[in-house]
Amino acid sequence: MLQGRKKYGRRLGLMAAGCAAILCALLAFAYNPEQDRVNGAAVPTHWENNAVTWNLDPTLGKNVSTTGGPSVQALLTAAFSSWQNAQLTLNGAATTVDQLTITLGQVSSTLPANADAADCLNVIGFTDSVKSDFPTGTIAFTQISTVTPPPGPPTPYTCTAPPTARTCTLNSCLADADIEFNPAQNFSTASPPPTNDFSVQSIATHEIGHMLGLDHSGLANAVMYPFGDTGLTTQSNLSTDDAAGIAFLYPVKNFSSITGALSGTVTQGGAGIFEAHVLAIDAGTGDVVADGITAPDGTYSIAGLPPASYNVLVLPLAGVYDHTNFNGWECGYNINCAPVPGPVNYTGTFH
Amino acid sequence: MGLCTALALAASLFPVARARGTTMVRMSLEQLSQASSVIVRGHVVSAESHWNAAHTRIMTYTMVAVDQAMKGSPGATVVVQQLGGTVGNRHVYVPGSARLEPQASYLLFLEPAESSRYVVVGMEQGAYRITRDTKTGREIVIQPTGEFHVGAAAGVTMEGMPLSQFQPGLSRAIEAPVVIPAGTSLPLVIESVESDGVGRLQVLARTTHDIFPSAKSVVPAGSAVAGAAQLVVGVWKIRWAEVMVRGTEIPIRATSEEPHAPNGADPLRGRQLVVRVR
Repeated sequence: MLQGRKKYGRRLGLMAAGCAAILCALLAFAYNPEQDRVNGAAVPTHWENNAVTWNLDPTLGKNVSTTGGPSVQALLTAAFSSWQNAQLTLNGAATTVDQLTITLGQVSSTLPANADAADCLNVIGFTDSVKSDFPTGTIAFTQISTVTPPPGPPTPYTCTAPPTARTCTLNSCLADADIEFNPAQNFSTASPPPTNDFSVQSIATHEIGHMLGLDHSGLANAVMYPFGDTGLTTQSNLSTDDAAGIAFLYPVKNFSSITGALSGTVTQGGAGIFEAHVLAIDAGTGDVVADGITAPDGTYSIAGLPPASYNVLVLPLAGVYDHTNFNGWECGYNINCAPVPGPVNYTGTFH
Repeated sequence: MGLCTALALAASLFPVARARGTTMVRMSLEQLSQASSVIVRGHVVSAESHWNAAHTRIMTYTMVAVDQAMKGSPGATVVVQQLGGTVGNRHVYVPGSARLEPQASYLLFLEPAESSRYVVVGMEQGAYRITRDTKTGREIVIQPTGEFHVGAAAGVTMEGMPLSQFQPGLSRAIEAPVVIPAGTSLPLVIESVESDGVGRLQVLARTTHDIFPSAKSVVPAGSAVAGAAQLVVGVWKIRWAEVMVRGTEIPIRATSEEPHAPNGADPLRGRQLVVRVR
């Protein structure tokens, strides 16, 4: 058991000049894009032309309740809209930071009921019948299918519904994404949902983040945090971490000039630390704003931050610790806690 | 932090956190253990990915050599089945799923899948990586980190908990009695009935949902629930006696009533009902 005190209280001013370099740095991101390995390097995957079409199998089991709430289709549309219009508060003004074209295609009970990685139909369904798709504890899942073209001219890949050949002109393209809600869990479209039901909109917003190319975030106040609970009030608003993540993948043209970035290296005994959490904490409010993971050499980059002063806190990704071991930062993991205004130093014990 | 506290936290960091995002239910070490039919320490010996016969899915089958069985009676190897994998230039991935690296050692919490294969309980939560501390030589168990493993492993490995300290807590979790508290609702579908005399039936049902009665217990969907029914004035009065969770019998007290269908050849089979434990 390692016990040591680490003190990370650096106060960093944001410098827009750092943005260009950040966008070139792969692997170490805040908010975690889904990535493919291309020629030995990890690259984030995208929908080509910033455009995605989704389809809905409206067949619902008895486990999905619409009592006291809107239709499933209405909630899903709202969830997509939140990602399509992701906003950050920049200099006091809500500013859209991403550009996505999201279209509803078919709404049909004849769409494939089970996740299908080959058809290039992005289907959201509630009746996946393969029990092993849902290990105990699974609320919903998104199956992402990507294509990485070989070196040279773009090579077609096939889709089966209908049979077509498509071409990926990016380093990695999202080709198919299906969202399946677990038929062995209870869901509700009401807000808040009943005590024993999961919120359709909360879960859909999270899974749509996967569909668009985001992986899980370490921040509990982020939509992309992987764990959930029943009976929670619908949370459809993206956190800064979520908005910065989707904007990183599908940025507005002036994204890098209207937001800031933090970068640095985490070391221990002179060696870079791989897979450390790096938290950007608003120095004024104490809010944990974004979460990043260090690269194999210990470097990190957190782009898309609203202009402000930030403290940076580094935590082990896989360590054994709880929020009582650290003072002042736990709001990143507990959205019910009150932020500590004006924090400067953070101390904690690593085990 | 004391050992007991550390062990409790190992599987349940920040239990007070109320999260927005939702892919999975955070499971305690006790819940992971209860939902597992097999818990093994093992190392990955091979993995293969291929399209299924219908060419709709890429599946990955990872063969794990069993170094130690902590629950259940697996053979010398187990095959872990996962949705996703890479075939050619097509990559399929389910965020939150465990990534089992070649040659690496794990503590795996496994539940049955098709054809004698297994899936990892709780997605990435059920795959604890085991590494060796290069300085001390001790084996370290690391919290599942799943999707964050991208790129070549280099630099310094984050510290985890010594395996020798983790194991006692795991043993306690495996041996802990499963309790289904009063008030727990069990959604069931009656699977089969067997005559137990005139107007009497032995009834076997299965849970249709994952039930989490408390932070330390779970009843996975598909768990068997046994009871006895008696026909009284056109109504089947059913006394439910036990729930079987991955081979462990849990006594319960619950009753329900179902109307008798006189012309039905199989009077209760297929009925869906919700039973409340007293």
